[in-house]
Amino acid sequence: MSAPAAAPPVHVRGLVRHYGTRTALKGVDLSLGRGVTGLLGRNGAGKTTLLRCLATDLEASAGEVRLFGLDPERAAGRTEIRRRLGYLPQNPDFYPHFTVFGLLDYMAVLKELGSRRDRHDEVRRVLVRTDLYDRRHSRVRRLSGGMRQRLALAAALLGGPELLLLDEPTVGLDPEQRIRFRSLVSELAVHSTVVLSTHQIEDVAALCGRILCLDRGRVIFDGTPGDLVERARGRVWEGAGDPGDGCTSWRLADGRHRVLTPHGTDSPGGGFTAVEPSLEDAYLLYTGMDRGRG
Amino acid sequence: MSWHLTPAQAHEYAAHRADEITAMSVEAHLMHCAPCRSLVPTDEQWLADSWAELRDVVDRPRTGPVEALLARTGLAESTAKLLAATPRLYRAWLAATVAVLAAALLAAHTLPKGSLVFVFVAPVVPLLGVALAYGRGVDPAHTLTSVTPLAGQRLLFLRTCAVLVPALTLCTAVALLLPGTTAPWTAALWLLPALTLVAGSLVLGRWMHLSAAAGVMGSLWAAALFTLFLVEHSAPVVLLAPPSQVWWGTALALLLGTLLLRVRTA
Amino acid sequence: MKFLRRSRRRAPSYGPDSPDPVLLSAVASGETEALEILHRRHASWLRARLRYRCSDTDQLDAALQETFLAVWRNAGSFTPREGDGDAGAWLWTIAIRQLISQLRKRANRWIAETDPEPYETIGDASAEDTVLLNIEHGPLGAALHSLSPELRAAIQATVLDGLTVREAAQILQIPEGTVKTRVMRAKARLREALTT
Repeated sequence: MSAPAAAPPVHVRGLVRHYGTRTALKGVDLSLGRGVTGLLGRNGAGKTTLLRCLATDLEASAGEVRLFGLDPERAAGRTEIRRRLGYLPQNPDFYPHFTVFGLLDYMAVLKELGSRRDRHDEVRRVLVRTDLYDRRHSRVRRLSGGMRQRLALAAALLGGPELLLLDEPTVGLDPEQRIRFRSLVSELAVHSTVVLSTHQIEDVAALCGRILCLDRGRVIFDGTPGDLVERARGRVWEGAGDPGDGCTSWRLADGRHRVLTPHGTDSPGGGFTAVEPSLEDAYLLYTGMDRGRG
Repeated sequence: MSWHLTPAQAHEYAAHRADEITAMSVEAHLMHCAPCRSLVPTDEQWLADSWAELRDVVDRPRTGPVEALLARTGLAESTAKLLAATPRLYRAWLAATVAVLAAALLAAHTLPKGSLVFVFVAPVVPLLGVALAYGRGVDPAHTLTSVTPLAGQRLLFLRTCAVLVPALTLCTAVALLLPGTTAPWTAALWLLPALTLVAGSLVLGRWMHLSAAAGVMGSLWAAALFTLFLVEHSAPVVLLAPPSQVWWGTALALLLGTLLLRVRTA
Repeated sequence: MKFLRRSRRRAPSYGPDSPDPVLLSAVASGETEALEILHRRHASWLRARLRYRCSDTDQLDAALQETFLAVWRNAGSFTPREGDGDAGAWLWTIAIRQLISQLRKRANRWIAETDPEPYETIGDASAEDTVLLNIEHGPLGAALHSLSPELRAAIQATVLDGLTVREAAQILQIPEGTVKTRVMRAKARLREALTT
């Protein structure tokens, strides 16, 4: 079966997902094309659930999910979607007694990557991309956390997927590896759709052309990083003195305080002046929006 | 050694244009002159292809003994790889199975009516294996593998085979070693219940985790045994008596039909 | 199928400029990168040389492939001679024998099936052969010119390529006895040419 050529890689309408009595997603709408989309939100906001629904790992309780125009709830569509999909789950786990090469080779079989020769060539390709080639004969249990993370990324990259879903991919990576990761992802995004869930605001700033903020199962912001920063304009202040309650604030190195005022544009008090917001301020304003009330 | 190749001579030689005497002379020299060897021009494309082919042989991951054995039986290389790659718990199950069956065999030979231990344990052995072979919770790599095209029915089927073949082989071996007080065919009475329990858990696996489904089937089996044990005048052996075998056969056929239908329509 | 992976001893540190024995010992401890360096260093000249003995490039490439596989498996058996950091002769011995077994595979109709002989360097050539090997130029070249193509081929196979009489018979497709007589005649002719 083939998908309509013009179908967007990701198209979701009114996606609801329950876990028992808890509702993790309460009607999510989104449509994604090529490029990197950052998924932001506090823990429990529904990021992982959304990614798992997109990865065909979870079925929607209600609503419509179409990936490449295909329906993941039908077996034929699901298999076709999975051929074009790479998924890096949160806290991925492996068979510890496998070697790096052996594990990826096993994954490549599961991804139907052809003859042994083709499969091995593909495994070597992703090993080089994730800088694991020298460790290819190491046992998985001997790998450090960062290497395991890269191994999971390598597994997601097998077969050159058109849709890449990455759930907190930079956890455990050192700063140098994170920079390598970013350049890898931005390269991939030229030809594919990447959805990235993360808490690392630097990754978002460096990579994402689009940001989705999730809060309690709903999309509360959908736009460019620039849009997000604009929303924070007038709500970020710096000055001496003690900010009032209900604000997020932290002490700066020079002893003054930086204050975020989520509910209005009023100055938190005398001595505070509005300053240029950063993406981090905007992120904190959105994801921490209800901290005062909550 | 005063004489060395000129680059032109090296090219002539490599292009197979040197005459015999020159070629012999060049070869005798190349044998012990590394700098002149490096003058021989390299066809980079050929070298890369040749190395890629060579690397594919020397740098392939080691094939484990199980996988090698499976491949020798004529299975496709990729299928052998899938069958051999099993979670740790599967291996633990295999070891436990050997231990339990050995104990049952011992009981059969030492206790009066000890054969019953085997008869009641054997149907649960493959079920436990299935419970531990696939799914979240028992398979550490499940989150990675569950969204691949081969995951789902096909992998589940392969893993079930990986359980059934050793389980049935071991049980049959033990059944043949039981004290020969009964007719030989009684040694196979456990087979249909065993298969039915596995098929039942696969059918239930649609609505719950496979391990939970296997738990349900196992509990049903235990409950049936226990009930029959409590009811006076009826021994649990009734469950395996020839009339019951007909029921087991019917149930198995129905369950397999359901599975087949599901695979077809999915 | 390898149940026992190669020995776990640590590979020596090596690089693209390491001498052959160092690379071979790294190959012996399982370093594919060392094999790649050796391949890059030796494949081209070995291939060029094999081409003078076999015009079928498929067979030739197959022989070369087998040569490096043999190196991968037998790297540990390479023992460098005193003061000689070069595996060229050893590699050639392997390569020419792999070519013979390739040709034998293709054409076992008229070449008798025999077990391959263990690899050995041609270091045990007699003093006279060593003199003969110094044919690079000078009077010997002229002397070789005076030989008939058959005699030259016999000398090439036994002295230059380091083959045994039996192997030479296989690659030249002539009986062993003929190889022996041709080599004797050729050597006598050369001696004559060099002493006069």
